[in-house]
Amino acid sequence: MKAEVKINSEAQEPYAVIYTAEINDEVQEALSKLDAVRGGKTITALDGEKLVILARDDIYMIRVENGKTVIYCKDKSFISKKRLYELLEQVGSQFIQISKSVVVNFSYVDFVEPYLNGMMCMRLKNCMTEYISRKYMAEFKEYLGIGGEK
Amino acid sequence: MRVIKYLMYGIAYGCSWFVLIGIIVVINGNGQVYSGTGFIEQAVAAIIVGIGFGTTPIIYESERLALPIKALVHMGIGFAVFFAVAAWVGWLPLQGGVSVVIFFIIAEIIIGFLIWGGFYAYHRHLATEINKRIRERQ
Repeated sequence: MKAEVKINSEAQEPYAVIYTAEINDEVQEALSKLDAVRGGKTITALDGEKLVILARDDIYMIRVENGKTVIYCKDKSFISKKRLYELLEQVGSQFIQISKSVVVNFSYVDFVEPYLNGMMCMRLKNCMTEYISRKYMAEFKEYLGIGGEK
Repeated sequence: MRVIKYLMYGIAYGCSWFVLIGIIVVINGNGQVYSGTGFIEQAVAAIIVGIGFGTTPIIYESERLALPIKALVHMGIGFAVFFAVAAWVGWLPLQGGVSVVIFFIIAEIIIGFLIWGGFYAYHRHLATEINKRIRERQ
């Protein structure tokens, strides 16, 4: 990849633009490295054909749907090329896994309600709902300090 | 896939209850201990009842139905299966007459709803505790 740096005294902060015919691994890698410079606080995802940069705080839920990793923000969703576990490592402890295919941003959890099939349903502040699987329920309770683990 | 998962829960519940009740009967020493085809019949009956009560909770995943309706469907199907199986394998105390059978049915329904209520109260309490912690940590 060719790189060019322009010195512009009017630029308030460094701003990178990548010109590319397609979003390939090289572009993804470059974005990841730029993101690392910023402390890894952003996530790249696809909005149709367009590659967008999302802040961690904008993400409500990450869910695997038909093999695709879908990132849900307040009222819009994006597709990520990364696997769920890779994103979970990237987003940090503010996010918790509630089932094999779902990770949620704890800051946006509204409430949980019980189902009598032994499962809990979690509702987020953007009105999305998702089940907490039995397997991850213990981990979630531990995260909250319930059950004597903490 | 979820239906298969619930079906397995139902079978597991049926088997667990069968073993538990079998142990109680043997410890008390005053019940009939089955063997051969009788054992198979009782085991199959317990599994069918387990499926009736253990698989139907899939209805609680519906977002369209109200909780009382879901509970009614769950318990309604569960009891329908239970009493059909009870009539088949002889769990109904028919020799005691109509009043005893009615008493048995009412007692079974009360026990069923007490177990249901116990589970509901536990999960409700857990959800309340979780929601309290969520508010504290946010």
